Amino acid sequence: MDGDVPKGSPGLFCPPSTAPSVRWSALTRFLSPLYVLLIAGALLGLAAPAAADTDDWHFLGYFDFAMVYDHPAQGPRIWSFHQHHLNLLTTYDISPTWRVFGHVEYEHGPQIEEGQGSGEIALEESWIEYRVDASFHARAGKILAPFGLYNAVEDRTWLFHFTTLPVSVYGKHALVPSLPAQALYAKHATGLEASLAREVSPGNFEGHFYVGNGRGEDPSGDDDNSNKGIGWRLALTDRNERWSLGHSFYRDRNGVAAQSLQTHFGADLTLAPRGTSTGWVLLGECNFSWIRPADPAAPEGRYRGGYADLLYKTTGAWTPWVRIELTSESADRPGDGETIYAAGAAYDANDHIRLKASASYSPVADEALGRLSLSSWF
Amino acid sequence: MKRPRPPRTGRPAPLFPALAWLLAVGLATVGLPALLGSAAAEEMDPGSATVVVHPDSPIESLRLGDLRNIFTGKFQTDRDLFPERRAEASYRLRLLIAASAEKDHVTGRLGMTTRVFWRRWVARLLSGDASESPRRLDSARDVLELVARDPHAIGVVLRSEVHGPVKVVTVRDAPAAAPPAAPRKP
Repeated sequence: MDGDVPKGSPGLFCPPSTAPSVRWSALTRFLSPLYVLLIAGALLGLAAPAAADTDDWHFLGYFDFAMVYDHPAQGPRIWSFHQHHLNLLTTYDISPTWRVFGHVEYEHGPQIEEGQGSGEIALEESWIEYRVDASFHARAGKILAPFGLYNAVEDRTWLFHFTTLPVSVYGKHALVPSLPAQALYAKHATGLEASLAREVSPGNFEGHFYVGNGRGEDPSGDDDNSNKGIGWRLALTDRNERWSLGHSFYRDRNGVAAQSLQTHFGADLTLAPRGTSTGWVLLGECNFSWIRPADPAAPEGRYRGGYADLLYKTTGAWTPWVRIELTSESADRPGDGETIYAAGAAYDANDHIRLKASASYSPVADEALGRLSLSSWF
Repeated sequence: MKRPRPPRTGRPAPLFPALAWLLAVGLATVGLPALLGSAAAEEMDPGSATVVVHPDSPIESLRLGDLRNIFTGKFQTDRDLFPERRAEASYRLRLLIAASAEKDHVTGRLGMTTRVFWRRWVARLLSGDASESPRRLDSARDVLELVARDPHAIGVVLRSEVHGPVKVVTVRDAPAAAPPAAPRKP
């Protein structure tokens, strides 16, 4: 947007700098908390539509609504409406090299009164970025860990052809009997991230390296485990985007899982013979994980899992797909691996609206799931 | 609340044989043609989209690769284009595309469909990798007026629409222009 408001000019966010009279002083004392809240709200995408008229503020968000059908082996069949996401994102360009990004999530239609209720309101991301040039930038704050193909854009379901992320890589798994089921890596990392990009002979290379507090009771405030969470993601993409290879790594001592040492390797592959054009795309990810409990007498947990998607990008708005997911045995399924079959389609109603349908079946769990969803960005 | 799963019985899933089979089938059906480059590339319109900048802009010419990097969001500031000017004050590039030149520019020059092009930009915006996407304007005149006012803007219009105080940027390594269509026989 081409705002003509010069930087630093008096306006909504510029408090008066003149010597205050008694009355003015009282007014500013009253207003200052509001002023701070307004700034914070604007930063987090909660308010300040007036500021959107400048070049430096950018506001956007996304929305998800779904109908979910669950048919477990035991228990009733249930249809549910699910107000999944309303997420608000804000970027402020401090300068050509510095940016601040905020992302607030309202998940599962939160209704919270006096500290009790349902749903979730969370600060998903908040970081400041220093960008040297196209080949290097660094971020500090709370980031989505760049693990696998999707964690860095997790929940932005408008970007996916499927309705939910594959469980085998992005779900929770019980690896050790004494520990709760948990994700294979930290979804968020509060710390530092450095990103590199280089043009190399086959195409483009990207590397993301991060260090954070690791998982714990308060991972964005205090580090309650005895090490730091470290990870990286490396990706090589063909110049014509006909193939890409990726590798992810994450390791931390999990403060909410009895200080167990957890190591996760991921690999992914995408093949698209016609690059960005219409046609077949095959993509898949697999994960290898180890959990070593703090108690040396306790058994180690291991996990292998992965999925493969085959999808067809049509010339129209449809994207049909099929998937197979495989997981190794786990602590709650000793001696028993699991295979999940899924299929679905995405339909782009327009540039902002995506309708999706999917069905999945797990023979081992004897459970069927269906999902219709409407995703939008704005 | 997730209901507890019932106890299960059955054989372990053949994880690695199945993954290997999937990979082999995938490679045979879609992967090998991709790796060998035998799949036909999408026909590209040579296009007559023209890049224009403010007369005071330091941009005189652009490599096709740089133009692609600019319009796919990899290049966001003048530092990306002129690394030797790193010590000088920097600015963000502002991108404007006239609707009339959109297809020629995106499909012909950047090598992707307009749907993929805009979808990529939404992905960049939602993930925080870019602050602002290119602006698509219905009128080429609006693009030219904004470029004439803004030294940081890069506009794309049809060659036949260029007029006024703007500078035309040469794109090197550009695909050859299509020969003019032969006049129809009466």
